[in-house]
Amino acid sequence: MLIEFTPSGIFCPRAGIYIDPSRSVDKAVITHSHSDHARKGSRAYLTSRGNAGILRHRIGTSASIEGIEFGEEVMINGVSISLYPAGHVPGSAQVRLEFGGEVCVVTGDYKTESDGLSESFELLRCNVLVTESTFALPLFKWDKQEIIRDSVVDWWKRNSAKGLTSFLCAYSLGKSQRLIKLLHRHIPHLYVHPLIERTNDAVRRSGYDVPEARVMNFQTVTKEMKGALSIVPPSFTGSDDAEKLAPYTKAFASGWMAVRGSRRSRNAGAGFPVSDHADWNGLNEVVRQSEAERVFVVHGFADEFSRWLNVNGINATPVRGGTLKPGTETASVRSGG
Amino acid sequence: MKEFGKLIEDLLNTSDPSEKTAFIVEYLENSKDRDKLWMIFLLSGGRLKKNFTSSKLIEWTLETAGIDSRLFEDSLSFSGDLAETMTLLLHNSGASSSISLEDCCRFISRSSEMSEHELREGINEIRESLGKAELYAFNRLLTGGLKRCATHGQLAKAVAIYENTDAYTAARIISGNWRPENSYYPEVVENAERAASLVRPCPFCVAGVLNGNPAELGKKQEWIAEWSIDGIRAQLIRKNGEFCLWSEGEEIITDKFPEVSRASSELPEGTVLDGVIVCRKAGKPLSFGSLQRRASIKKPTPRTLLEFPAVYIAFDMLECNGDDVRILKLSERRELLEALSKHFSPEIIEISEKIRFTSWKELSGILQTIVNKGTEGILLRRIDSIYDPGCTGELWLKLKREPVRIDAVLTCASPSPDSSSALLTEYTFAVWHEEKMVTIARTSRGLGKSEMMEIDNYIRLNTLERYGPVRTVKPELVFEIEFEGVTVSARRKSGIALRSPKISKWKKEKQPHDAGTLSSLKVLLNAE
Repeated sequence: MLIEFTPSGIFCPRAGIYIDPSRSVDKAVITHSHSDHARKGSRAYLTSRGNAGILRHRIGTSASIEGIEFGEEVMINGVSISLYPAGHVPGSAQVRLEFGGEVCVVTGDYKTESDGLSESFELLRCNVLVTESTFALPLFKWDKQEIIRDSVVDWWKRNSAKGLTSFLCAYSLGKSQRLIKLLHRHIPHLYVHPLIERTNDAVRRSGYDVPEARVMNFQTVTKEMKGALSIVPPSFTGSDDAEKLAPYTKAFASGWMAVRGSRRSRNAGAGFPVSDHADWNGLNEVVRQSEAERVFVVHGFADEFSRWLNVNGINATPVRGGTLKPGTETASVRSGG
Repeated sequence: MKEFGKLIEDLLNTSDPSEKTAFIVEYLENSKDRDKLWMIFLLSGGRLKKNFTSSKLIEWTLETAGIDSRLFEDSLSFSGDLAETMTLLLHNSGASSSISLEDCCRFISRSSEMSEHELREGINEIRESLGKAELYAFNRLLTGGLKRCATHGQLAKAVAIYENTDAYTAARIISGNWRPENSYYPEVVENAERAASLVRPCPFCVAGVLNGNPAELGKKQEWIAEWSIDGIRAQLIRKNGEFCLWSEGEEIITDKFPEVSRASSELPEGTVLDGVIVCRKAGKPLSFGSLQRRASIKKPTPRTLLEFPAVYIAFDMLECNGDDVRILKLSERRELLEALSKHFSPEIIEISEKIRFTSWKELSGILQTIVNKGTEGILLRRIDSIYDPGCTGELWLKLKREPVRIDAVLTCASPSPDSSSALLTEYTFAVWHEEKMVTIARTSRGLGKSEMMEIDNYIRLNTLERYGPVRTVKPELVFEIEFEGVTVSARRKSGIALRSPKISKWKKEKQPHDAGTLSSLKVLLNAE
């Protein structure tokens, strides 16, 4: 097989590259810039052109980062390495490796629906597929963007009528930009937290069309900021700056919010299931259409999803913490034929 | 069903009581009369008659969703809510239907007349037509009830606002003798209003708490002392051929205590008493928990009546032979009450016992030494006071026993359910029992903001495990907990619960092994 699972991450021995390594390595291929995929300290980074600037913003200026176009081929020791859009966040990529007629695709994080900002997910055929499984339960089926947009606008109007400031908590890379794009024409005074604005800038500089939003200023809190909707990092509520805008109410924008229990555990009155990951249907479609003979499931409901794929005649194996789950390897080979 | 689905979603998304009330009012304003009755029926704890099991429902859900039972279990264990799991598995966006709440309820109630095939087809058809929120509400109806979406008080308040009426009439609407299948909303309201006009309760007088020495109250002859009894405060009203028990929580609880109802028929017409309901068996008062259990049953069975017999202890008289006597002095009202007490059925209706004392000092002694089970202290009332809720704060006073204290260790924390803040301010405390820690209390009362921030910080750095919003914490911080007494708790491993626990001090100098023991608390249980 072209790849193996190691404690440092997914490794291609022939090319000597690690995909989204968890430790410092010589050559790292980075699918996207979220902190659990892009880490400081490796000697050389290969990533998409769109992500290169964002990666630099996230891991610092000294690193050696090479950006390539989607579909462009890089050859190392006979292995063809290329990147294709994953649709997860702007610039996010799937990694395609090919050697001697064998094709291996590592999806990284992905979503199949278009968010209007990130390059749309491209389906790749392959022999070996490594897929994520963050939301691999049939509970998770995303609503259309417009439905979510209307419910956010509704929520904000209700809050504003009660004199409450609305804080919409979202990850600063990807989710925030996507929400700005979704909401900016529908909410007159849309604010973003300064930290998010810095990410916005990095994303804009990489050539993505992130609409302008007002930046929150905590030195002079204006009347307009109160009662407005602000997109903020999840850690913001409860801070002294947040108190300046009291009374406020908060909601999380995350796929987990599809389930009431997770809304309650975040202590949020409202929650909007907006996700940058594929939902149950998306994951199943990608696995089926890839026509992969071997599927490895990482990140999330790996056991549950693998079992389900096996029941449906697909040879799938869960991978956790960089290693195959003990015992499951042989079992899945048998059941997959 | 659209409005009802939205109502249930809104109710579950907030913990703010006034918001909940506002959502129910909104529903009443936007719904048809028929649906109003079903909503009131369901939110007040009514259940539909059903002739199918949850496992059948799951089986049908699996078939429609095209998944196997293992995947269903994986999903259910993540969601934790059967109705929600079914909803998320089945929901197809874009569905919208004109089916009403009443249609759904009538369909479910008819399930016993249907074949399994008919029932399954019918359920599938309705499910396919519903949007997400409505589908959730429908699945709740199929799998159980909707009781915990709102409290009786929130529902009653909403009905009172919508009907522009008083709390009593609203309670009368909710607990009137009607079934949603064959009643008509305006008629239910009219009947309630008529009944309410015959029996109208008075506002309750509430005692203040005496902070300080009772000796400062003046001459002891000017005060009447009685045990302040732990129970459900209620007015007993016998008037115009009607009988009613009206609780301080503004709920009509007549049907919950039929033995008191029956006994009150011995009372003369035009009697209104103020008193407390307790549970007592063979002369021994039962715990407040038993009383609560009894009060949660809408219509008690003969067995419940035997297991948890109720007693009404009257301590005041508001109406005598149809005359309003609230303007008389307490001493005169007490005389009327004593005269009336010959009509009381022993062991079911009683008069409250006066405490004889010769000096304030003696009274304080009685309070501390005679630990009377089922009391929370002594009620002192001025003998010349009239029954006026406006000024009883000084004329009716509660003398509380010195609180008991114990050192306990912080073991768990979660954000307080009634605050929007993410600060972990709901604390769980434990004491030692056979070299292990057992939980004895949960409270968020007593600490200042800065201490809470400090503790929050500690908890985040020392979290052992997380279960949803709850974190277990390294057991290191010791606090002094102040409480009024100990009661039996079947829910807790320790077997006890503290009454009104409150954090009195953060004892930074103490180590976990300095904390108190369960046996020292159990001693208090036996003393009471």
